[in-house]
Amino acid sequence: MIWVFAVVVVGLIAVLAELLLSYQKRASDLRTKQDPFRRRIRAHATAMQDAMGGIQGVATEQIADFTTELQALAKRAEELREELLRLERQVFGEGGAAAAEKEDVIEDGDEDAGKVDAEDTPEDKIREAQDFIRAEVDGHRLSLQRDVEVVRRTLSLLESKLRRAPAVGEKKN
Amino acid sequence: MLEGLLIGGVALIIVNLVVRDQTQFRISRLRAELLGLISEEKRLAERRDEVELMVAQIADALMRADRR
Repeated sequence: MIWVFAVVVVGLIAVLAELLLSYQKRASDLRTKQDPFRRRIRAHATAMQDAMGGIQGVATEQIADFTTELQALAKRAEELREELLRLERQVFGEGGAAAAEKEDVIEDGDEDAGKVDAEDTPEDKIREAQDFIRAEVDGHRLSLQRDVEVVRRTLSLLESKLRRAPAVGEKKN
Repeated sequence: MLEGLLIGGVALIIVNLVVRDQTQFRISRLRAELLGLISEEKRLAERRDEVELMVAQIADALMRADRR
């Protein structure tokens, strides 16, 4: 009888040892499987931070330049518009003084855009000057403004995305 | 002697059960952590693609604006 119980106790000790060993092995397997995922998560977070850092520096610098350029363009457009208004007043109001202002219309713009035929009437020249302002000055300014807006919007979206990303990554690391 | 073996046997059965339960709990926690890491890795990979796309868009817009 004692022998039977002794064998049972030894068997139970063996079962306990076996249990502990097998569970340790499974836990170690699971931890080993986690490592590559942790590494990849860190790599994603670093890549995002790097990409963001690089583009943010360049974008901030260039946006400042573009803003200055936009202000200069706006000023120039305003000057041209005022000049055109003055010409219009002379052409439609005083009539005779239009020929004297011909040089101003062409002066500020591109050579081809400002060129007018010898037979053009003052009204045609005014219309061409209006087209020039609209296409060359306003068009350029608006395109630039749109690009700057796209950059600003995308940057702020990026920042908000990255503010959320590391918080999730750090929680489980 | 017989009583000692009997008590020892019962104690060993209880210890076995406790060890099994505790370790199973730890294993299930590790498994859940692994699943969480897998899904987080997938989410971050998607976010990284989005971020790279956005960075490309910004670079594109900057280059376009620079060329004007």
